[in-house]
Amino acid sequence: MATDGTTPLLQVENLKKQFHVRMRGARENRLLRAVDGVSLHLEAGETLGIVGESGCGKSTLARLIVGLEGPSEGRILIDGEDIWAPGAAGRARRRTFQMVFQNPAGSMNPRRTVGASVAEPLQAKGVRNTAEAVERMLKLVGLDPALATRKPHQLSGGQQQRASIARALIADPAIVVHDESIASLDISLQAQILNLLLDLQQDLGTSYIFISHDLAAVQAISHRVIVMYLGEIVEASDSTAFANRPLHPYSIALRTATLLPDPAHERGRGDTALRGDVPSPMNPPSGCRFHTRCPLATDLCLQQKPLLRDAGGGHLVACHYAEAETQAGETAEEAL
Amino acid sequence: MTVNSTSDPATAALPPRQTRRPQFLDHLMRHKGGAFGLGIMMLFVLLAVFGRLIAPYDPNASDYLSLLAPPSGEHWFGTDELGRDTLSRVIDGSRIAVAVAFLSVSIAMAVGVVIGVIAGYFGGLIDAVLNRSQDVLFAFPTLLLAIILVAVLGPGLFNASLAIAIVYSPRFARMARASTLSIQTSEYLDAARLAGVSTPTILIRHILPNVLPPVIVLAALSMSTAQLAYASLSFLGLGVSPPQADWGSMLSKGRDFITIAPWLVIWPTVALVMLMLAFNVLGDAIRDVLDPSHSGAGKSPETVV
Amino acid sequence: MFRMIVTRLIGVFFVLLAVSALVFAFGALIPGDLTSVIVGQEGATEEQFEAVRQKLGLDKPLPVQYVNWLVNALQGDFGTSPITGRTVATDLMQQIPVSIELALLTLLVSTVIGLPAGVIAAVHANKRLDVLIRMSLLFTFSVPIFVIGILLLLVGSRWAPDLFRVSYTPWGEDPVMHIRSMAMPLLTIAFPITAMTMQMTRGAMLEVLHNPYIVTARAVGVREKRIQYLHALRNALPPIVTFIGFQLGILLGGLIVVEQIFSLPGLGRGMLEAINTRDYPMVTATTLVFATAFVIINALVDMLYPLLDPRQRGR
Repeated sequence: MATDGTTPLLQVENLKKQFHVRMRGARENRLLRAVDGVSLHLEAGETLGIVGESGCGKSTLARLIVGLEGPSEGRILIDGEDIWAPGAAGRARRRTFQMVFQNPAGSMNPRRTVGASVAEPLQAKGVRNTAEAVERMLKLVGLDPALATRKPHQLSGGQQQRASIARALIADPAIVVHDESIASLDISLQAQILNLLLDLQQDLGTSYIFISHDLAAVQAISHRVIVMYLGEIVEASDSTAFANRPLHPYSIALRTATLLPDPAHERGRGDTALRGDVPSPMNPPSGCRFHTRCPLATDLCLQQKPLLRDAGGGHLVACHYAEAETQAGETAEEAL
Repeated sequence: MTVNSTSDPATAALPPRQTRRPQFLDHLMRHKGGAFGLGIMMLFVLLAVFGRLIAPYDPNASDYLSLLAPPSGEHWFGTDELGRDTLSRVIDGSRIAVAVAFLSVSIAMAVGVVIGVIAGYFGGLIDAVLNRSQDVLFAFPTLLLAIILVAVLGPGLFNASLAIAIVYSPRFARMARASTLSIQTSEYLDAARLAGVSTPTILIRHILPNVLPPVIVLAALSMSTAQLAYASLSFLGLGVSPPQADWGSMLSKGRDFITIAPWLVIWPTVALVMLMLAFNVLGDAIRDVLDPSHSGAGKSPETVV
Repeated sequence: MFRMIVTRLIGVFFVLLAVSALVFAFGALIPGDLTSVIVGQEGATEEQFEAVRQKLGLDKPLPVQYVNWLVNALQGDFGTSPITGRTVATDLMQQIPVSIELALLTLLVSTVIGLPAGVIAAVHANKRLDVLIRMSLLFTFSVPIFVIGILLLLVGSRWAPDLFRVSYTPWGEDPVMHIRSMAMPLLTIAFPITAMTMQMTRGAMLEVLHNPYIVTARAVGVREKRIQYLHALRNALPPIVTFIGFQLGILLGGLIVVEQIFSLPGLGRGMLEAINTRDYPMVTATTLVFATAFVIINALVDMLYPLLDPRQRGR
């Protein structure tokens, strides 16, 4: 949160992305609202976590933010300037981003050496002699520089992901977006990579946007957390407040569904399972999009869509009944 | 290589390095057909390059004392109606055959790959237009189209090669497009774009290496039919002009003397068939080496008439 | 079903239009100015040149020329050949029947021989006979038709002089001579095409023969021959029929070569002569006929496919 009045590093204003989808045999195109009015901001050196199930639009959001796709509506600003400004200026701004993908070997061409892939962002900038920088980056992410001559398939999953991180950081981007970047690794590796990311952030001051469906990982690494559902933000706050007291029924369900090594939490889980499946993004429910699965849903929820409101201390939530639930939840936990 | 998740991943043992180039040739030589095909092809290439030096006689010189002479110690393959030594002419004709094979396939490959990659990568309207025009070209019978093209361009070695190249390029375009589409959604392309790599560089650095292997196989296999296509064209009088020795036109001329001088027809045919076999075998071998998953589905009857 | 035929026909119409435009463009590009060919090399005056150009309609812009040409062509008027002096239509009328006869005979022979041969080969698959046949097939595919023609000439000159050195005689004049003159050309093209048909039939049959319903029919006691022809072949037909369409391309090319080798006065040889003598109206006319035939027959075969394969009908 920009408390001192300076422009945040990254601002996303009312971002929307729609796809026209033609179903087999259907007459017209349907509209898929992958991202439907998302606004957020990011400061230098901080990590913003984005949580949500698959289909909530977080991958699309990631691609929109880094500039791999253009928005249908809305703006993305770096230091106050639009990244889609035409010409060289816009291009330069889009280069402040880098991305680490879910597939560990994702950013690397299987036919090229790891070193060549890691060096690519630097080469694209026009740097001739990349060998030193590659060596330095590989060491920084905890890899033996000799690996630079290997092909991606000769590395383990964890090594590949570290190499992807090295590649993302080599050209010194201001912002790195992690799109489920640790999801395909096993738990111990996940922990190692998260620690690495934290160390790197301390050393280099890079900002992260950390996108995941894993609440535990997001909370571990983020300064602030955003929860997405069907293309919209349903809750946003700093991560400590969120960890203590998630407000939105969806966030609460996510959290209780997370396995935590805490017997009290596990016992108190009870039957808060969400009802039903995620609705199709092409046909979102009326009013509050979550109402079809929400234990607190009433007629109001069906008719009126709740806007993001401040529930105290900068903790934003989009629900008509947010506080009521948490109070009930707290009493339930106290009763144990 | 043991993967132990608690040990430091950076020190895990790695397999020894293998360079790519020698490995390919190595495999090719070990493949039975490969060695054979490569050998015969090299023979023809050598003949093509050094033919003039090896041949016993000047292919265009007439020996007026031995017109239509049957094969003998002096003229191993006999002479034609102008007294020219058949062996020398067959050797000289290999220059044309090999040259046309390489030239036409190279042009077809270059043009086809460019069109295919552009169509596949950029998609949309460009793809639709390019694809349709390639389809139209593809729909025509090969020889007919080649004849029409030569009619337009005029006969001659280069024009005939160009005509054949135009007829063959849709195959390469189709293949290149398919290969491009198959890696179109790869994340490393996104990563490259994000890194700021320019589009031409992406095409050359990432797309092309994926497109080339099947294209090379196709090129090797096409050389055989391209050579035959040219022979058909020159048989019909649309190839190089006389007196340049040329297998197709030799066969055409030889027709008139078939009863009294069958050697005029036999030896160019033998050469033609041998070169075709060599290219075929070589092409099959290259395909096996580059793509071992390919099942030997047998010859496609899609040769040029 | 009806709708599909209509859409197909409309598609064919447009393709033909495009083809005719293409052919016209090709023709217009042939080097060698038609006017100078007609007027002759000796110093013609500018006015004579202009007069001839106007008469031929060559002074009008290209698209207009195209439309004129097309309109005339549809009425059967392809202009006059400056080389031969006859109307192109006359020549076409004489040449087309020859080529058609050759083509039809080839199709007949190749199907009558190739189809049963393929069935037999499939039934005896991988036994020695089959392997032997397949080896020789490989040869006939790979070698161009003109080589086969020449080899046949060789063979003919030695062992069958009756069939050799016989120039073309129309059926009307002398049926026996006619057959003799057509025999070798027919053999030449029929050879690879029969081989292909056989290969194709064998392949399609093999696939079908392993289907469960064939095994069931056998188990139930249906007679073998009946199984082969009625059940298996009928289901193998669709790919075979489409293949015949594909063969068409090879057939057309083959016609040109064979007519040249054996000096048959067909359309193919007419086209080649026209190219060599720079007979521009003749070239465009013959090319148009070839291309049109190709497109139409392909379309017919395409439309035939759903008739043969009921599964395709509901599109």
